[in-house]
Amino acid sequence: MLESSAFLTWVAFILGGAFSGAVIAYAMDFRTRKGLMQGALGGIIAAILYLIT
Amino acid sequence: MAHEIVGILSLLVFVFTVLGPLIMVGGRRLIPLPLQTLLIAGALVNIVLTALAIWLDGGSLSEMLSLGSAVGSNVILLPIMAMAGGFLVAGALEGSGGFAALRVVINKMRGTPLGMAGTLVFIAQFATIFAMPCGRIQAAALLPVIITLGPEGVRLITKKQMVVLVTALAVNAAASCGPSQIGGIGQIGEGFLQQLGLLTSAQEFGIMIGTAFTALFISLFVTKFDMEEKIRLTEGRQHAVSLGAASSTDSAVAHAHDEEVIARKFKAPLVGYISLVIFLVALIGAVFGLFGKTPITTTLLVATVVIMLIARLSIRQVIAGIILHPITALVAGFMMAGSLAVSGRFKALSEVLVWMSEFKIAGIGLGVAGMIALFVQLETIMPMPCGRILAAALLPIVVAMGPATGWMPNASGLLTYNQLAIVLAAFIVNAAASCGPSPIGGIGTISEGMVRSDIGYLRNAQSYGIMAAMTPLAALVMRFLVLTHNPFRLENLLIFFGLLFGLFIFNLGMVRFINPASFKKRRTPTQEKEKNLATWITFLLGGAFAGMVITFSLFWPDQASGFANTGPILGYLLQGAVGGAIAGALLLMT
Repeated sequence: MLESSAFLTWVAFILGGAFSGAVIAYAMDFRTRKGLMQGALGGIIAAILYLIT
Repeated sequence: MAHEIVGILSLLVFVFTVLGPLIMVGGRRLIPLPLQTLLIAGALVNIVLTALAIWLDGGSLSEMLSLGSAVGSNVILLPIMAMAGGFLVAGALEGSGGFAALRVVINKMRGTPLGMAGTLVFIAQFATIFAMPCGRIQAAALLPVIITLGPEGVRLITKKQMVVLVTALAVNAAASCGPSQIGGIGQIGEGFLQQLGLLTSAQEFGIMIGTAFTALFISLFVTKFDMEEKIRLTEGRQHAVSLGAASSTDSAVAHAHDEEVIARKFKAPLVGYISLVIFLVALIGAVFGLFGKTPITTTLLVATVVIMLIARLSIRQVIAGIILHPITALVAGFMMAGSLAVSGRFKALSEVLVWMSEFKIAGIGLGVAGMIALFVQLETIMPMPCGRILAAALLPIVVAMGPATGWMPNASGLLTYNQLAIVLAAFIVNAAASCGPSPIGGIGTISEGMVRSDIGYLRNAQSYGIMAAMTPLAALVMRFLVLTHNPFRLENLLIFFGLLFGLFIFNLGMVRFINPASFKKRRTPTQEKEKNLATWITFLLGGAFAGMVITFSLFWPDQASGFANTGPILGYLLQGAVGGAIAGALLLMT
């Protein structure tokens, strides 16, 4: 049961990480496309590290 | 009869010790004692009262004398040792320059494609990535980075960005002790469920999104008036170029000067990088079981010793990493829980919860769903400086809602094992994060000190993130990713991602649109009222939606995954919405 949901957990974390990163960047007034993309990238890296550590 | 009266009295002692320190009279705390002291005093009063009841009921002297050991046996050593191990390795990292190396790495990230925005997002989410037994460790490690980059440093981030960043960092750091694999609060719940690591990913997901909601809330609800009058952090120079720099050459020189200042501030010895790598290997090895069945505490101690040898650290340097506050909080919480157990109050408290779920006015009541939607938010409603204080005392009550077991024979059976796991994930992440918005020494007060705002100014944003995202998302992930037998079934996928994005859109839309644009101008007292009204609406609706998500996660039937059909889901959703809205109101009132 736990193994079969691992893939979905990764997908959910990466999507959630991108979204949360973009939201935090927006909240900090990085509202250009580049700023939001950088925020999303930071969020994805954080999400992957959440899962690894 | 005497036992019954003593039971009620000990319950009152418990409520008084928990709520008493939160009551402010004339700007001062009604009881100016540390919570740990108060809890231990309360536990002693409970023991004396219970001894009195035994005497009045004709009990023996040996029965009375055994009370002390009965309470002491409730102090569970494993989480305390794991936490101490975490603190020791943190001390070794600090002493060897490991945290300094980390700061250098984070600073270097600004020059990568992540840029400033991605780096700040990473800083906001950092504490839960390397989750320690207490979030104060990472908060303390990252503060120099933020201060240096901030408006009173080299001004690479503005005053508003700093306010948003320190608020998000505070709530993330506070919550990080929930999923920590090295002595986190979640491990107590996993111990009850007898499955280590079961609650981790659900909590982490909730924290990740909750941090973003907190950032958005403070960003949209901090007004121009607040920025000028309530947040006393000085803005400093706007930009390096504004210091008389008229040409692009001047701008480049100023930029190079700033980078030089930053580089001077962030330096780390080689041994710092090595100790950081040792820590990461130990942490990842412990999480993935790379060292066989070696206990986590042993792995951490070995890592500590290796770092000590490489960096030639003294024992004093390593011990300096131990933060006594969370350890004493855990012991005091366990002692209070023990005193409640010997006076028979756990059974009574679970009866109170059953009563709450059955209580009705004009045929309308909270029901089990509403009671749980309210109960899981309890720790943030009564925020302590360390979530362990109440968690240690209340977790047995949560477990008492589940199925009866050998060590919990009086459990009420309100919930199945799977439902209990969902409630525990939501309750624990809420408990862990609650030390963020606590006005009595929570992590948020460090952030408030950094931006020099009034104590409690950043509390609402953190409470909102915890209530509207962390808690319900922990429940949602537990149900549809961790406990589901068939996660790839189309129905489950649609429900999970549908609810996930529903929660995003509902909350983002609400926080964005309820906040009137007029707040951004200098406010009059009327606008202050409007802001309060908007805050109330946001908390009530956010709480209701969170309650519905928690309820749905608990009661949506799926036989294959062990969730039986127990009644109409709409009724449960309404109950959850009411319970969640009450929680939202209580969050603003306490």
